[in-house]
Amino acid sequence: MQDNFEYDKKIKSELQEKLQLPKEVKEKIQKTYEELEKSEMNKKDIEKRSKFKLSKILSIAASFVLVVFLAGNGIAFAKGEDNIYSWILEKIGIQKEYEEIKTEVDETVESNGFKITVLDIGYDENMFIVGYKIEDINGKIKNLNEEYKKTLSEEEQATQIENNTGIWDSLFIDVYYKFYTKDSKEFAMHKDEDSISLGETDINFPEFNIIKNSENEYFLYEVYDFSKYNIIKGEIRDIKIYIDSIKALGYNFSQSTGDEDNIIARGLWDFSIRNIETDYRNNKNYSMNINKEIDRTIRINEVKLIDGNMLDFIKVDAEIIDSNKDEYEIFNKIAKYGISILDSNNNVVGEYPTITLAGDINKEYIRINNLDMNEKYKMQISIYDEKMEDFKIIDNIELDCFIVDDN
Amino acid sequence: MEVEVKQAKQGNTKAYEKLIDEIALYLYNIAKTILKNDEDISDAIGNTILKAYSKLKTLKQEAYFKTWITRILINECNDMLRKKKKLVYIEDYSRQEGKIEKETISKEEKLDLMEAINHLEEKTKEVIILYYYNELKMEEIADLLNIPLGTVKSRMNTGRTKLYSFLKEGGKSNYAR
Repeated sequence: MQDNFEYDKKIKSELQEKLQLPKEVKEKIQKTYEELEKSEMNKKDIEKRSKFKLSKILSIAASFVLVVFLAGNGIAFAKGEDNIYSWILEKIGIQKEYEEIKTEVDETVESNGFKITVLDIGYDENMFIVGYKIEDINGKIKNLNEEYKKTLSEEEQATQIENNTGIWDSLFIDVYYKFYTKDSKEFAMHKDEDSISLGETDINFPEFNIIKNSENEYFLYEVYDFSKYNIIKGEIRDIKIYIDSIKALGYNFSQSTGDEDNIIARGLWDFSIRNIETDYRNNKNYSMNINKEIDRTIRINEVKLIDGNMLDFIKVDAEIIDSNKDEYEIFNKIAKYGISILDSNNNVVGEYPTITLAGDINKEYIRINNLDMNEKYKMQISIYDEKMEDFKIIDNIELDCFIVDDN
Repeated sequence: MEVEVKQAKQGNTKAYEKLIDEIALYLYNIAKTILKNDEDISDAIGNTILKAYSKLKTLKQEAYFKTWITRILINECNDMLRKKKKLVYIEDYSRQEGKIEKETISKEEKLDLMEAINHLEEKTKEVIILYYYNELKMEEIADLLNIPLGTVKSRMNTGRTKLYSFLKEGGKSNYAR
């Protein structure tokens, strides 16, 4: 027995000492490093070039907030002026560029005493801008701000202005953007997160808001640094905007408290802004929506059929149900599932036999050839059973397939 | 490793390369259990390196880097396997041929331990490497290879018996498969 233990040690050390990567693999890794470094340098270069522009905008924007505050409710533009949005953008020096890239939207939704209009959207290689008009029908924001102002001495107010740290009469909307590219990729951007995803790439971005307050009307422009996305102009086909809530910073004394303190309205404002690029006006979008909790292990929040031949599974969250298992077990068993798409004759028309949620990778594509919109498809889901001994089918979900956009 | 992961997250490609260098062989051994062919393995590792780098910010716990990238690699390998199903069959065939060829090596050949490992039957060698080099448990090997635990144990036993017997004879000795 002792001998065997010694032999084990010997085998192990021999392998660790002598086992080598094949030359071909080594070379491939080196090439990949070169590719990686090159792309990182390109990314930094693009960032550098766009930073000048954005830092310029940011500095002007900072002073612009100050101007807005000093002007109070009577901002210095002629009432009834046709293009007050342009006026705001001109103040921060991007009006001309934005005019060239923007698309008029003018869609309004109303909820909880607020009316929100998406005025226009524009993007190019460097920035992504959305203009909103927010109407506070009951004067709720004004009251909140007044209440806050009362609590500050003149001196304190002055300090806030000087430091420009407390944009305390600012208004924020909690927004979630989804972009659909021409090659059917989808990516999402959420203001509250510090990163966004485009395909496989996560990128940090700076963003800022420009707000103008006129009575109970607010004009808000959100400007995002788009340079790190490597988006090519015209690449985006559709944009969807979801507004979750409206927040007024400053109505609560403690600005650093959780978001919940500052929410003044919450509603489900779902805009569907499509065909931003007119080139794709004739494209068809299809959608499958499903909300189903599967066991306690996987929840598939949304299933979407896009461009007629690809199922796009998004937001698949894995819940770890047995934390006593070791890390390997968690990755290999609990977080593993399989999806098959079956037609009405139970023929498998598309599948992803095993999917493992590695970190936050939670998006999978299943191609279906010759998709028939009249067919009743089923999604079959397999996971490990409770004993984690067998990978078996746990559910069949009927997919309700319908066309959502057919221009 | 955690420090390098943090640095890599901030865009330090050198730190990331260092991380990969440390586990490259480990990854290779894993990939080899699925793909077999070095050209495919190279592609899978290359894609994994790029993919993991681009997703690195989503890795919440740096300590899990190795497990995390292993999962990406396994997914990548499985993807490739699905795409190249036909090719895999051909390669399995050539592996069979290779196996026959290997078995014809002279029984009188003098070997050292590494060579003895290399002369093990491919499936046995695979298990031996995963166990001794990658330090995976037998259950983990069974999971990875998608084979019953009993099969892993039996392959381990075969490999060990041969290697033990080789070592008992003092290292350099005649070695018969």
